[in-house]
Amino acid sequence: MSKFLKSYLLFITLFVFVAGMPILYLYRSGEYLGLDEIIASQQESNSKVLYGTALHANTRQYKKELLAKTQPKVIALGSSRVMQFRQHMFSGEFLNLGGGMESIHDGIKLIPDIIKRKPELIILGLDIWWFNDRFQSPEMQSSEISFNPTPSFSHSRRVFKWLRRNKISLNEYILTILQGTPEVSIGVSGFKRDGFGEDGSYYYTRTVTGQIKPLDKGFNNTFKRINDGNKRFQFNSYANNQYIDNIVQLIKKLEKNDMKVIVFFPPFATSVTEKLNEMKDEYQYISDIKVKLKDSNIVFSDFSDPMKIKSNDCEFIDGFHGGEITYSRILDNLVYEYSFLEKYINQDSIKESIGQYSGRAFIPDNEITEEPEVDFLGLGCKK
Amino acid sequence: MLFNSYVFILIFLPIVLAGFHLIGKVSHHRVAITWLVSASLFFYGWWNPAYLGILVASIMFNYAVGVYLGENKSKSILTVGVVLNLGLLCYFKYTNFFVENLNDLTGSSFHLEKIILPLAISFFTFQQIAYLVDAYRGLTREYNFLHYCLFVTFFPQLIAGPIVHHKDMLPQFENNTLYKLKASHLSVGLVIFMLGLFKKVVLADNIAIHATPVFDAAEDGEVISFFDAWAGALAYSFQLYFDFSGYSDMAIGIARMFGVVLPVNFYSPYKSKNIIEFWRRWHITLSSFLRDYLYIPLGGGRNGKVNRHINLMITMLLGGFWHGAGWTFLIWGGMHGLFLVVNHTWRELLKTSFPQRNKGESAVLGWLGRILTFICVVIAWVIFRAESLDGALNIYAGMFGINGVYLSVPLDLTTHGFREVLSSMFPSFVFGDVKRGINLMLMMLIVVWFLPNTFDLLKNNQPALGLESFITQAKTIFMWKFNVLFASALALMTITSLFYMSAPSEFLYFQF
Repeated sequence: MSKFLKSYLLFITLFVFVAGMPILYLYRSGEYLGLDEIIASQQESNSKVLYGTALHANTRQYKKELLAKTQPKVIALGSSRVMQFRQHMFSGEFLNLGGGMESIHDGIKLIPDIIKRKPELIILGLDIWWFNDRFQSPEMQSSEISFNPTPSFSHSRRVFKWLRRNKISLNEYILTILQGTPEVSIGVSGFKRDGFGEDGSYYYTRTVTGQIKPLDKGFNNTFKRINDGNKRFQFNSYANNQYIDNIVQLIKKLEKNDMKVIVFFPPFATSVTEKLNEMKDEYQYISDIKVKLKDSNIVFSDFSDPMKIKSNDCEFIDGFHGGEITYSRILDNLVYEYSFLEKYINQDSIKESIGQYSGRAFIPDNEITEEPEVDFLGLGCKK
Repeated sequence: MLFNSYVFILIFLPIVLAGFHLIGKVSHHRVAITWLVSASLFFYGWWNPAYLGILVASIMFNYAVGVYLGENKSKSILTVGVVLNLGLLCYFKYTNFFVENLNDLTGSSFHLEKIILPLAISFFTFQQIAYLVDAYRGLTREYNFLHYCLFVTFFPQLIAGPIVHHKDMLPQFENNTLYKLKASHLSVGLVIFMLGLFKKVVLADNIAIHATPVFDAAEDGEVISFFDAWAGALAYSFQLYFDFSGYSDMAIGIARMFGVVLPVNFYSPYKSKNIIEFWRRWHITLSSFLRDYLYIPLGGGRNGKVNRHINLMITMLLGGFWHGAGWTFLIWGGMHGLFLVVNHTWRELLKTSFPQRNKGESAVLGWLGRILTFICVVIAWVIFRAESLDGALNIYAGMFGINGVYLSVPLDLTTHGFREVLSSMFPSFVFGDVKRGINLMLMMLIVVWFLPNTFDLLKNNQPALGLESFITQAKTIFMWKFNVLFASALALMTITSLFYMSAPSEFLYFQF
């Protein structure tokens, strides 16, 4: 029996060492920091601190916490497709809640928190699939995801997987354990300069600088989804009436609380738009959404086709996420459509960006990376 | 302090264990017992020191009454003792319930602040009532006060059982060998504890995420589909099984590290072929208490079938009510009472109709009985888990197809894969990850129906008291061996559990 106990203790020591090191690596990377600490680090630093977790699916909680810690005049609300609006595009304090609303239900849940902060302007980006009950069935609702940044065995496993697949190098692994990550980075992805900035906008640094293989090279992944009718691109003939009602109520509630609400449909890449037009019989619900919103007296700007704002494929991150220049163009168009936006939008900054960096997805920023943008989509774009 | 917390496993337990054996070695046993009692009170006070007074007062009162009853067989003193114990339990556990129902019934508006239920009160009250009754019956000896204190407060069993009996426990404290550190006790205790920890943090807590959303949605009045309702009910059935089994193992394992053998509390109940057998395997120490101190004193089966059925119903209703002050628990107890009555009636019917019936039953019939018992138990767990009657009825509506049996998304089976078909069956909340959910459920079904339990694995090491009534059919291949290979397996389980423990969750039975 005592031999059994000795062997047990020996194995425990061994396992603790093997499994404990990856946890130490994650800890030193900042993956186990609480949202409070993360946001405080971002807000108190003079540099651009990026938070990019490779471990947690906590965007909604992060955005909610960010909202509670700021007093924005302008809020960009929607899915990851509005994450490219950045502070420098606005005159007053701006907060990007992109990713905080991956469904209409998420938006409804977020409203009380938004009302508490009393912003003056909401820029709401609508995703077409929010209205498709074949993507989000009537019973489907977003569950409350609790963010618990504490170590687990699966985290250890995941670090080993990253090492095996060379997502992190052995050198980086050891150095992080010994020295931690630089002050401007929180999280494993943040260290690689992918992540959320203080304003809640997102930086796809590794993708645009070609450090990682893009997920949607040549938009092939998006085309496949469209052809197969899956992963957000499910075919449907009609928009779900209940969802239309829900979004109408959401907009009205925001307006009733003295907020101006600008509603728009974010763009797809040009070739993706063409593909969707080719298959419009399968996607009849898209036009149905717009008809029903108009019938409900919702005013919106439709930028689904990027040609409308003179953007193009080279300015996209992937098939349905425009880059910074595309979103600068959206604001430029919105100011033109709604003159009252002049006081909220930094037109000089926008015009300068569009003038200098047309055809790019990322406005160079040495604080984020000194690496130049490359033709990461393999479309032959000149960068 | 939870058994599945770092502070307990890495700090409290090692210190108390080392202290106990060290003191036992160099000093008088009374000092070691005092150390253990103090540690147990600290363990209890960790939750809320304010309630320590109730526990201490209860111990002193019951010990004094017990000693008196041992010397003077006074029925009135026994009655006072039992009534005061039950009065304390009723005040803390049932006052709010009675006031709320009185208000509902009479339209009155009595208001009481929410009374917080002291942890473990249901357990230490029952344990001490048994002691008083046995003292009156002349079945107790003149026990040492320190030993009595340890009998009630011994921290492995204090919070949620097993409900220990003085005749099982107190003689062990008088045994001199208890105070010597033995590698065999430590090894066996460690194995039992770690198996329990693994059940709790790896199995129970993981299946919980598939059960909770269904019950929450039902409480919110959402329409629960057939598949969701069954998946939620099954997930909860497994959650409770592994939670309680895990807790019981951990309690028995910890006690064993101190050299104390606790009674078996849980013996593969989902393998039961009928409800009678289920109650011999589920929460065994509570069933024994209810049988010995309620059912039998009520008359048991002595006064004819009708009386036996009435006694059974009363016992199960009160057993249900012991679990919580709510109509749902009462109905749950009633359902099991009814199942037991049906089971007994069926047995009698078989006995009178087929007196020559071969007692050895066929495997097919055995499995039919096992499946039927499992389904009945699962159905009853729904009301046990639900926070309100409406919530339970909502899930029952789903389970019995009243909300329709449908796929949430119309599917073309020629173009959709198996996984998508499953996704559409469980669309909304049960299986965030369908494959994971299904795998987990299947794995758990295999564990509860086909694998040997902790006590089967360790049957050669006297893992618990009261195992003689269970005949294990576990093959030798499944026996736990105390060699290097098993040590490495246990170490791996330990590390896995420690990682899964990152967010300690309470044991379900703590609420009772």
